[in-house]
Amino acid sequence: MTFVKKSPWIFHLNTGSCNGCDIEAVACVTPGFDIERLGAKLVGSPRHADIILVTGPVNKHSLERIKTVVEQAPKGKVIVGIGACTISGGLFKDSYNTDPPLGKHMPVTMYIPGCPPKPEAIIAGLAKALEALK
Amino acid sequence: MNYLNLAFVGIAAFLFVWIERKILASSQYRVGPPILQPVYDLLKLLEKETIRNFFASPMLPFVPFVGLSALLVVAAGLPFAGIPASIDIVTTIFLLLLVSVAYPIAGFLSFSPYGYISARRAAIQILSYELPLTLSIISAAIFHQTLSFNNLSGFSFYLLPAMAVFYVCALAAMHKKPFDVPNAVEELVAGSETEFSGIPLAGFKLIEWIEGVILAELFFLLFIGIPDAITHIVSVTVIFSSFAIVEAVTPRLRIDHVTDFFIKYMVPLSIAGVVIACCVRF
Repeated sequence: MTFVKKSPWIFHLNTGSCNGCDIEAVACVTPGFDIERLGAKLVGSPRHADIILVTGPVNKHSLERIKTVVEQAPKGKVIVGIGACTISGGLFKDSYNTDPPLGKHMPVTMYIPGCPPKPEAIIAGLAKALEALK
Repeated sequence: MNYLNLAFVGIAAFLFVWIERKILASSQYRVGPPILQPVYDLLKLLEKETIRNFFASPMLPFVPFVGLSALLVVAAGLPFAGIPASIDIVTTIFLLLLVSVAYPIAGFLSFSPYGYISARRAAIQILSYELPLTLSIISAAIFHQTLSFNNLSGFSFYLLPAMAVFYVCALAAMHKKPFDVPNAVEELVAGSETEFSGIPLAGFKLIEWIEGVILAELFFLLFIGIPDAITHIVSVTVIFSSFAIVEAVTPRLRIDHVTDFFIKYMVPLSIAGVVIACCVRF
């Protein structure tokens, strides 16, 4: 029996997003959706994280920082990309300073598409990502 | 050894943190976590990887367990429902100080800027609240003419100032909301716990949870003190819930305001408490 599924702690990482996905991701912890019912909570330090939520097109300026932050998380982490930007660059496609997709730089377990995805979609995606946790 | 109190503290630590999270959630119109959530959190942390900081001291992962063992000694020594105490008030003051000091030590040693800032703030906060906290305990000791937990004889109006000071200082000792400057989540990532993961982080969580129960229990023993199991459990639950309600309704102070508040108001009030206790007894 593993207990990660019962208490997934989420670290939210912005890689140059337009803030749309960040608002939707943070909306998951607000009264309307309340992912604390599932035991999840937002943590500030990557050392405490089980799930890393990444938003935004992978900005070249922040790429090294993203890799450092992801390496700082303990083993058994799951990386979830949120929004069209992490998949294809979305709005920032063909921009000179972005380098999508996220999966090129690190193993991504799951993408949640949308621009931005609804909180319902993010919660459904997290529930599926929990299946990948072990 | 008082195994009954140790068992009570062990169960209450998990139950009370659930009550606290539930109160916080309901104050924000949320549902809140399921009742076993603290147990799941702890078990998950126990099975996570413990990351060793390359630059930090190899003794760093053991720091939370120094504080935790001191807390468990206090828990095993306090009286519960007529079973006499095996430690006295002076020992309790010393052991609780050891618990408070574990937090800044971990921050200073962890080689992280967030931990360092958090540890500085925690150290300043300890210097601010420790004097009034100790004086309020001493005024209870003077009033009841004893340093043992066994002869404390219950509630008195003369102890109201000391009661108020102890309550406020307990909030500061637990880093609860008006005084949660050292682990301010929005500013300092996770405070001194930033660099901790896995089992040492579980140690810190246990310190946080058990310290709340112990301080609520001390408040009950020093100022209310009825040796009856049901009264003990109900009162400690009510006191801890009031801590959680304060946490839910107050904003955070700045560290210089915390120091100002304790030096300007709490120290004179606690000295007044000691003077009142002396006037009543001598």
